[in-house]
Amino acid sequence: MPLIEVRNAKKDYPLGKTVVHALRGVSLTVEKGEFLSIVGPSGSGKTTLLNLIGCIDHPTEGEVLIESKNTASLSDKELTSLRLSSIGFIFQTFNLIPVLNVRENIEFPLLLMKDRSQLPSAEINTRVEKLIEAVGLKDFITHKPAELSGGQRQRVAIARALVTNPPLVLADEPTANLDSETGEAILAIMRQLNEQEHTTFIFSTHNPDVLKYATRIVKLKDGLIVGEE
Amino acid sequence: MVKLFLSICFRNLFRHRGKSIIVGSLIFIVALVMTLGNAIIKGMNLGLERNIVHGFTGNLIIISTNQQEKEVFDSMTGRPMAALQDYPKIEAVISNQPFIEDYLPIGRNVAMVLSETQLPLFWMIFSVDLDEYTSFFKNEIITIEGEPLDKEKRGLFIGNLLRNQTAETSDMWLYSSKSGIVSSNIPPKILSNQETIAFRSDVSLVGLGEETGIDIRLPVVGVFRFAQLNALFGGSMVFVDPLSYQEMFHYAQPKAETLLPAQKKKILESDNLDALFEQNLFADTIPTSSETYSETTIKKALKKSNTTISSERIYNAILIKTRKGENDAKTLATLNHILKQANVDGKAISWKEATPQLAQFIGVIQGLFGVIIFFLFLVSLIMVMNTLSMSVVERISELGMMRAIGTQKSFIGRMIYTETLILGVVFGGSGIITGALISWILSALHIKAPNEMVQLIFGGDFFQPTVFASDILSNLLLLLIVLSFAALYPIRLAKKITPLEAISQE
Repeated sequence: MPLIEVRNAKKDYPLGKTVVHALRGVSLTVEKGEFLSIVGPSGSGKTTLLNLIGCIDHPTEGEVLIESKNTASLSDKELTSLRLSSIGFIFQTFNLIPVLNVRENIEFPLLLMKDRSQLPSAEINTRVEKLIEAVGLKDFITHKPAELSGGQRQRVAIARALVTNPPLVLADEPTANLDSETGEAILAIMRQLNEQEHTTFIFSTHNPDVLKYATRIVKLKDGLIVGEE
Repeated sequence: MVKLFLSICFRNLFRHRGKSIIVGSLIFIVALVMTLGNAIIKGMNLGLERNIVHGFTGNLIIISTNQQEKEVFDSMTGRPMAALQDYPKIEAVISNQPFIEDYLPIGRNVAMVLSETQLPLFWMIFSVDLDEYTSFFKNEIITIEGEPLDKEKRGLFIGNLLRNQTAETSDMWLYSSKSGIVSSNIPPKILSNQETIAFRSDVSLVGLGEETGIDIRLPVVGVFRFAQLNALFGGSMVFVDPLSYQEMFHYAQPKAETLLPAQKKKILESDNLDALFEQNLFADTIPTSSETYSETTIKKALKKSNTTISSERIYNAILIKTRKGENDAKTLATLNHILKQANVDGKAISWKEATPQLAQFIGVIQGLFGVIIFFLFLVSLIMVMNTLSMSVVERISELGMMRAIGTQKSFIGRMIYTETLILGVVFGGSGIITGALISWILSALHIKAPNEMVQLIFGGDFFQPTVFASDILSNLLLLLIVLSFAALYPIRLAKKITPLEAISQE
């Protein structure tokens, strides 16, 4: 059973009197444990495709299935629960909760989980500390996002995305705002976690230097898949 | 979780402290205005109730079961007040009740004043032993002219404001022969009209009782004003001696010297009233009303002169003062039950029922204050709602991201609501406590009402805004309820934010 199936997904955005066709019919299947990169120039539809897979947008036409569940049939509440339990997000602009420190930001998704009572505090602590160590932020646990560098913030975002043990992590241009060295370090961490935890990663980029980490590359252009490696 | 949740709320407020201070200040002002306004209204309400109950009406009033209208103090419309048929029996019943501190029987009816003008003029007549009255009520009666009414002597004792009204409507200035005309007490408006004013030291009255009364002439023994709330009662009360009252309302046989002279009766009975009026048309001197009467009135008086007479003292109402701490509603029910069981001609009513116009007046003033406070409240809350909404709009990115990583709408709603409530408790609580402190200080300052109108607003002699400890809690509760409403729109706005909006904003 594939983890994700995108079937002939189209997405149109009205823009004044015209309509922008962001995706023109994309079909994609992603298996568990893949480290997949979506590449393409700006405006090719990378972010739109990630948004559809991440259940934060609906296709105008076509279907998106996550673990065989058609996202179109789910309510807002169910989609939110699905995002919490099955999908980790890493955004381009290191979206962290500004008032929480590193540890609290990473811990936050666990506290939102309905079945959190089944997670003993000790296990939460172990999981959070393990991730903090994995992303190399042991000395910064009490720092607020504003007190961290761009790379450090992205590391926090990675740890937060993985704390619930989701089968899928989506990263929209995770290295776009980082220098090349930090960007590579971030991708190395993601790749390491992918290998250790068998978490599926899908990340978009238009930086050819980071493609070497991907196990599979999907090329997008003008809202269509134009090639795969 | 709760700890982290509250921590997020507090930190959010601190992070957006500029907005928090603006919203908080508005909440502070709303709470302050609400507390102070409520304290003023409550002070006025309690003051008026205290002064009316302890100064004029008592807590409960017993009237005859035959009495249809419940108005005792401020209405001259409708039928006359029925006499209590079983006063001795009622007295025997009420004198043994532990919840009754004191009682005062009164005669109360309406009399028509006979004057030179054709305009009908009516007075509310009270018959009471003035010594008993002053000891029963705390309200002091200040004699400003003449002397207080002696129950053994015939005469009337009139309120100063009623005298002013009488002068304005009937061109008749009443004075006591004991003090003579005191010019300083005559209002400038009346003084400027001195040529048309008749200065009189006695008045002719026709009682409009159940049995149409007899016209009677009484000397003005004095003019009074009430120490408190004179503006409410000083314009409607005339005390007459018990005997004259009995006669006026045909409860007793009148003495010959108080009746109209036989010669005048003869003239009136002949219907030849021209002669009577002619003598005044070109009069050189100011006419006195003892010699002239309205035709209709006098005819009515003459027609009804031969009616049943009672030798016993008759009362129309009994004012009841209950013991301190007694619940008026409860004692009213108990007293009515007792009266019914005793099978006497008496039913108890509340002081509010006995003074409907006054209750309405109090309601209007309170309503006016209430409306002002409500509008202040409303405007401030709209501003609070607006500022909260602006704050939510500024947090689209943050809230959208929270939604993206799995935060339910309900969590976002609870977060905004809790932040509003925290502001409400901190700033609203401070506003309420400040309002209460100001109220207590103002009350302690004993600011005296400069005139009778302000006395009405103050509810008594002094400005006494009143805040109890329970008011602080109820005000806070009310504020939080209203803030909950004010937070509804911002919460709705926050819940509508999608992760996509947050991403689009980046």
